[in-house]
Amino acid sequence: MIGLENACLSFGEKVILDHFSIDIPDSGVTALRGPSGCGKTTVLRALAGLQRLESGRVFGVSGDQTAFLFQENRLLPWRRVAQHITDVLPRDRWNEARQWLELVELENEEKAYPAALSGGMCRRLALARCLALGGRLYLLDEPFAGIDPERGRRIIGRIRSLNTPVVLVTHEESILKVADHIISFDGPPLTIVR
Amino acid sequence: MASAKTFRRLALWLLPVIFWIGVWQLAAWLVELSVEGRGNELLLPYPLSVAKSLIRLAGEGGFWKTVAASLVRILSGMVLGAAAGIVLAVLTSASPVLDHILSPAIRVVRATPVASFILLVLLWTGRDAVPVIIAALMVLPVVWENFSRGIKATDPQLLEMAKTYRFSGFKTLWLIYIHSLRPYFSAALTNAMGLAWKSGAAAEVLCLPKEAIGTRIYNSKMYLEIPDLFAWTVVVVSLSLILEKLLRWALSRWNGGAQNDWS
Repeated sequence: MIGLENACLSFGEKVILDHFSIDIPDSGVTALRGPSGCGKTTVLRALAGLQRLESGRVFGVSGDQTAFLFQENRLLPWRRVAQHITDVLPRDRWNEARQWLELVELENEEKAYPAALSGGMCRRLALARCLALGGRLYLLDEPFAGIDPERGRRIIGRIRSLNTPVVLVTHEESILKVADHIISFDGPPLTIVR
Repeated sequence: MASAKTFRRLALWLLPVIFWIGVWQLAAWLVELSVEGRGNELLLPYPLSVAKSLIRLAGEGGFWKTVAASLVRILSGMVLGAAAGIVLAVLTSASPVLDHILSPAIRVVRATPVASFILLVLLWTGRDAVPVIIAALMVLPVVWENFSRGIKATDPQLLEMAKTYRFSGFKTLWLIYIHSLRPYFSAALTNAMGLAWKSGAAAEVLCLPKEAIGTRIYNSKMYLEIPDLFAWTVVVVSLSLILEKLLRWALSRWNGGAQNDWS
């Protein structure tokens, strides 16, 4: 299990985590869902070590063991598609880049710049870069936003075959259907609904 | 079609040049009228006299040597000032303590009259070094300010991405900072080029190095060879404009090249 224990965090007056604890299975695909702004992303960022907690602790994982997909694509407009992948790979593994692009169905866009891609393609590129980075745990914040449900289902199937546990935030029904575990939230402050 | 376009561009480029030479010609003629035929060469020579002086000077053996010496001095000052400005911008952006210590000094350098610096540096160093140091001192604050602004404006989301995706310091510099800083660097260098020429030439006039455009300007004034003074000024302005154009061209190629390949 991984998770947070007795976590507290607020942004100004807004309390996001109020002595919040959660256990997340560290196998298969776990989907976190809940209304916008309830604190799902905060949980993910805390697990990735990107969000310092005011009190409480993260257990079962440390930031450098995770690969985190940001809610925004954060692509580099001056780098080609394939370069985004090689940028996170060690030099001796550059030949893997194509495999990661095939996983997200972008293998025909290797030489394009992000400006030439659609919103969904940019999202897939950001996802491929995160997957290529690798780690003990994938933390994906809305990985299929703007991607059509059928393609999203195909991609999550391939991600599952990597045998690395995945925790993702999503609103997509098609992804929720194939998740092994679903945790629903409400808030803020963040509470587990079921 | 293409020749019509070229002609149009040439005409647009020449129009302000012809207009201002016309204004100069008229002003020189009015001066000649006001001195009642006693000759206007001491106050405001005609453009043609200046052109004749320029052609005569260009034919002299020492002309190109003088131009080259000034060019080397001022470009050296520019490179020195730009390098120091970049290093200081990195230091002041990385450390609030260094920012607190160094920023006021750089602002003092920017506010100090160039004439004070020229005389002080002349006291401390040899006359040949003064234009280099003065050009560097004028360029440094401009580059420092632009670079600091560029570093602060670098997208924090990209920097967080670089940290999260375990980019090395060099990779972060190469893939994120260099690109983000490029427009600030271009603006700094093109502004600095004009400043370097103005201040460097002023330093040469006051310090009189052996081979220098500034020295020739000073001598022209001393011997009341006013068309020569104008001709040397035309040389300084032309060099500054040509180098600025070259710099803009090189920087635009660098920007364009970055879109094509950065591997």
